[in-house]
Amino acid sequence: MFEARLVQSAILKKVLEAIKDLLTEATFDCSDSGIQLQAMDNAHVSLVSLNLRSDGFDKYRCDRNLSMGMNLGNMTKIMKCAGAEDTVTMKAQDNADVVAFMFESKNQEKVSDYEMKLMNLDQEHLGIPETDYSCIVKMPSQEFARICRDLSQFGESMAISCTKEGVKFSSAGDIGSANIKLAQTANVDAEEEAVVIEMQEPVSLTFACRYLNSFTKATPLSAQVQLSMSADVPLVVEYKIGELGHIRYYLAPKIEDEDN
Amino acid sequence: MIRKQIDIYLEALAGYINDDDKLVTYKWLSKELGIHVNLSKQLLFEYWETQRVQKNHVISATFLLMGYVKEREMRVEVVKEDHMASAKEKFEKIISEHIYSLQKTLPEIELLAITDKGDSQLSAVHSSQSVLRSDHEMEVLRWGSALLANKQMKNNTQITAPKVRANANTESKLTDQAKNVKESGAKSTTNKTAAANSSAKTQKTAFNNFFAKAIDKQSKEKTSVKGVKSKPVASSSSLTTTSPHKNNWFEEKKKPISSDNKEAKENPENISDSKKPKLNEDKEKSPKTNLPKKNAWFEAKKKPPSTSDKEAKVQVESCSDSKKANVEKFEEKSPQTEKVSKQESAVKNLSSGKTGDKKKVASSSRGKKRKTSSKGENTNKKRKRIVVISSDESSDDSETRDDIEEPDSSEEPPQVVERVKSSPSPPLVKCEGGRRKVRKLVDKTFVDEDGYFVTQKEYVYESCSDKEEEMPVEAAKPSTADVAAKTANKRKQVSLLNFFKKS
Repeated sequence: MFEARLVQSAILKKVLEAIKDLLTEATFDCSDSGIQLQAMDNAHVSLVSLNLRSDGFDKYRCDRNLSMGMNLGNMTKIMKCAGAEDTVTMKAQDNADVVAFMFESKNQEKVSDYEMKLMNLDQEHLGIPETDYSCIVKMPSQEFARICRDLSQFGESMAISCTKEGVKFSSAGDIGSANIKLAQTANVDAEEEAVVIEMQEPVSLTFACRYLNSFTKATPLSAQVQLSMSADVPLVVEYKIGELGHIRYYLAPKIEDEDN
Repeated sequence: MIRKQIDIYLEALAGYINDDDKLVTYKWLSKELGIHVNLSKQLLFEYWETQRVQKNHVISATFLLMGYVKEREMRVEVVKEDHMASAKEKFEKIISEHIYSLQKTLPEIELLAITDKGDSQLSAVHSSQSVLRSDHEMEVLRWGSALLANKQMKNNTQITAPKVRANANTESKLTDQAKNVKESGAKSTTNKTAAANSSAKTQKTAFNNFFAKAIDKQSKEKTSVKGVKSKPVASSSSLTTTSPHKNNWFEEKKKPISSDNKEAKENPENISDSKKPKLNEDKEKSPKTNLPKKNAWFEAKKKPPSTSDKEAKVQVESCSDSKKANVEKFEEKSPQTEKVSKQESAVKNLSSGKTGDKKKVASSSRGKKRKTSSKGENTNKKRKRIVVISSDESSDDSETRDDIEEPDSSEEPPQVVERVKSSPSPPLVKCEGGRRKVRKLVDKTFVDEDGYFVTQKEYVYESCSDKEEEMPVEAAKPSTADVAAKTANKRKQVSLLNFFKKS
């Protein structure tokens, strides 16, 4: 028996919005510790890692480990049926082939039940090694979204260069080039609005704008985003989801074509 | 005691840098504190050292490097601290290295050009030949002497004319004539460029020959009076005639009396000798040597005897000569001696009448003056003025000459152009290889080591033709963009599976 209850259904809606661009279907792994999701996009370039801790839910119960393969498009449809203020409860029986979503409005005046068929998905878990990243940049998530949006106009890929002084995003293409430099914030009043750089050594990597733009769909989840980079290692873009957990995106860098 | 004084200086220096936010060059500091430049350099170094040790507040420093580059050329360079290593590589042998300036920040090294000049009195090197040019003179050099020189001359002649008339009618006629000729001569020389200098010179001498003839025709009195006008230039500006000159005088005295033939023979030699160095000087603008100067004196003195009334003049010379030496030492304050010396000098100048000669004497003795009395140019200038006032009979004329010569003598193109380039305000236009080049602010963009695009504003001399102006700027930008685009395109997206293993 699996049951998870969130007073704010909006969080689940946002999580779904944050991953449905990259993934069409995904496996939710439910355990005593919480819900985890890990999946690569079809091109195997990026990876989404979602972690929702059990203690973050208003009510959480998971008797046996459970893997639920879901079509995210369909799940989105169901989640759209929930009101903004509704409470959501996910329920599933052990070895069941359906998952139930129950939306309750405030004061329990309206209760909606939805059932969605589960899918059998190939489990493709990747082992992600612990990495000491050379550069960790924390910055406002909206700023990052804006930069990705702006730079993707100039080219398919953008370079992220990080030095002690700041982080630079640059892109070049047919119409010209674009460079955005962010300096480290001197006075940190509001932590979420600051640009903070922890750097061991300077890093410069190039990534596909398309994926970064998809990552920024998670912007509503958190005011701050954390970019972790090391040379020749996938970029990690992490958004915290309040007390509930986090969503991490991994993106393989573009590297020099050895054929040339 | 000394330490105390230095501490005071250091405190003042700290104030200049931190509080006033000044670009403190060693020259400026020496002038500001009234100390020798070497002490100034040491102060800067000490301050810089202490700041560096404390590390609490990093100030930026620039260094002056002087030495031979690999092509065996001399090079003086001011570099930022960070660029020291790379700058030093250029040198084969470094002769001198010291702090040039300290400042809080120095975004562009060109900013140092706007700092004030130092005071040459405090400088480590005293050059007898160097002349501190006024802003006006520099203007003349930059913008062409013709315009300004003409203006100047007009003013001068206006001022001088009335005074001359007051002296004597006959005199005034003569001076007017002389002035006209001189002016036209001077104009032509000033108008000409460095290349044409030598020709201008010969022209001048031709005029002078003409003078000599004309003067010969005149009565003795007139000639003497006329000479008064021109001579003071030499005597006034050469306040200290040195012993070699005196010797020349005495020699001279003897010679004309003893034999005319000898002189006649010697004269052509001397003339040719004196002319040659002159030409060379004008071309190379090398420091003036004593040799031509002596020759000039010879010439001046020898000619009169050969023309007419040798003995009389020589006697005048001889008596005045000894006096003159004294007079000059006492800055020619007594009118009597002055008159005598003027008469005597008048004779000389009249006969020779070469402005070039005078110029040399003037400038060289000016240099000597600085050596002997440790006073700077300012005092020198003052003195000149004093003399001018005391010999007000016709000294104005000499002034005109002096002024006419000034731009001419300062027309030392090769060196000057070089100096102008690095001077506080480089000229907007310069001539190079027959092409006019304009100084422009140009954006230079390049990718630095970290892959950043760096755009620097630089002053560049560009030829005036429009095509060339635009091309380099336009060409530079696309190329950098292309490189970036290419490098971006070269990159290949790799799979995550290359990094993460399936578990």
